[in-house]
Amino acid sequence: MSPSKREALCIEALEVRYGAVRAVAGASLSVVEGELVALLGPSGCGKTTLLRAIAGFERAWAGEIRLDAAIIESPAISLAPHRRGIGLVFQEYALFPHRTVEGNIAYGLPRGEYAHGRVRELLALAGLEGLGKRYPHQLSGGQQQRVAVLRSLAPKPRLLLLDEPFSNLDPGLRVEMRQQVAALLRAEGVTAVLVTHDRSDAMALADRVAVMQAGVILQVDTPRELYFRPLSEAAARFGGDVQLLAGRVRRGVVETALGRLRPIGTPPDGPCTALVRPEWIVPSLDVGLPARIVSSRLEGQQVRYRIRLNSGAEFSMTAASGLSLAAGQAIAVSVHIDVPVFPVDPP
Amino acid sequence: MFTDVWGAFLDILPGEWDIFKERFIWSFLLQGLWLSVKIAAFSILLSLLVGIAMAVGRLAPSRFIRWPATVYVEAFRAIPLLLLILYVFFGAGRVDASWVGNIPLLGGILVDSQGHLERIPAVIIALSLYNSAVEAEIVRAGILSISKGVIEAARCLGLSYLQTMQSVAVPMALRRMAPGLVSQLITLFKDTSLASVISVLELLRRGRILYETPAYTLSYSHGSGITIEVLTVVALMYFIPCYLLSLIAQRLETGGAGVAQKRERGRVLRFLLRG
Repeated sequence: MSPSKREALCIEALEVRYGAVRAVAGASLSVVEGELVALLGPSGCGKTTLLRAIAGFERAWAGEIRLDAAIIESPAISLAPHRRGIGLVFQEYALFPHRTVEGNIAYGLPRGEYAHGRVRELLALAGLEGLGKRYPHQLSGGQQQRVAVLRSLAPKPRLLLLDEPFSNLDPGLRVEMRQQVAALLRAEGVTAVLVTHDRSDAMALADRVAVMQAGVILQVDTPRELYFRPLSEAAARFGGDVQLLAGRVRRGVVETALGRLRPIGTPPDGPCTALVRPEWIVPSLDVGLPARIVSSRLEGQQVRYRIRLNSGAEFSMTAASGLSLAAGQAIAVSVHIDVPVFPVDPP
Repeated sequence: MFTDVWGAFLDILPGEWDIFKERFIWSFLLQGLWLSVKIAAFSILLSLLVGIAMAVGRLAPSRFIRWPATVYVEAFRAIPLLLLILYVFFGAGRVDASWVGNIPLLGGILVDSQGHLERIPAVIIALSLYNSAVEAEIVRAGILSISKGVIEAARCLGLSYLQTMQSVAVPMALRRMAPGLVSQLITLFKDTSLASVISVLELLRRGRILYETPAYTLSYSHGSGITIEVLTVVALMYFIPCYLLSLIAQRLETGGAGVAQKRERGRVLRFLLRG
């Protein structure tokens, strides 16, 4: 995010209520022009409600949403959905069954020569030439999905919203579609907000990830920052597997069962919790603390190990499967990166 | 030649069919059928327009539209149609509607010289009131069966609520609801026979006139005269337009997005034939 870029979307302390339930409870987010932000959170965290409020299908109870500096949603003002210039791609695609692919894509365009050219341009961009005359039910899931994205992109929306766009696809197709959709969005240079509960979707696609829990946004950062430098324990869980160690900060160093680790920043002296993701523990034959493999389990390309230090403390460690360590084997482990440190909550 | 064959055919049939050898009997009944068809056509048009509007109205975001539409539907579908016909006809008789007579073209058709509503418009209004209420519920169910996403997708593409209803929701709902809707339209056509109670000379009324005419009835020894014969012919005359309507419904259902459905049906048929 470069500071010279214009802010496209701004959400300030937004609240959306369903009766007494605060589905969105004071969420704030800023998205600059051309940026792709992922809203990542578990089911029921309010991310879809937030998206629907941006699109104009839920009313704000408090706070406001601005698009290109103009208020589009607040308790007093609510611009009708069709006047917002916001595109929305639905989880179930929601293509019009009684229209062809071309008819679907051209739907938001004024009729005429321009629409014709734009549809052809978009079909070519998505590699769907020749499918223009088909009906939605004659397409595969992945094709339907791209048509849904094209339909939303056709009128050149000021902002594109995507609601769990990959959750209906099988895992192999999902990775492929992720790349194709990302390429489409970048080719069109559209500003986009993507809602997902899938960490890898968010990490692979987004310029920045906003992690959401219980109706509030905990942290907005690049995928890299979120993974290596989460600001809270809760935010850390969205970046990857979490392993928390009790420790104590003394003169700029964290003392933990895994030895003396370098913290990120300069936390105050005293008890703390340190985050050491399983893959941050690096095994070797001689460098580091002596440890023993307790058990191992293959997880796709990596292996998850249970290791025990001489002190008796046990940890989870993941490593490349090529290392092929056996249960009972003696190794040495060390942590080479600066670890995030969180204050211990008062009891 | 033809009349000979026809006459011979009627002679074979059990019962008293002699009057159907007369051309004027047929033209007398067919005029009634034509009037029934005209009454039904106007009522179908009017009731669909109002019915769709009421369906959209009952789903409108504003309660100031929703409530009146709901009251309309609940009220008119809960009144017997026969009562409604009598009510509109005799009710209109108390109102001076002579101003309607001044409307060019339509005026002369709608009201008589005393400024009272004519019988036929009264029947069309009553049929439209009742059937629009029933059709509104069918269309509303159809719109509700469309996924919310499709409607919201149209909104996001720049269509207002009414435009979305007009170009996405209603066309999809009508296609999906075609069987139910056509059933109702068939019922509407048959219900035009109720107009006979206010002496509109539609098909059934003309049939009754025929078998109640002493010249035709008294020449037969048995009491019921030619009642059954006339009613049989009248029934067949009602059947033909109804069947045409149901053929149209099948066409609607399988058109456009229904191609896959048709193919599926073919597959089932082949399977059954092979088995």
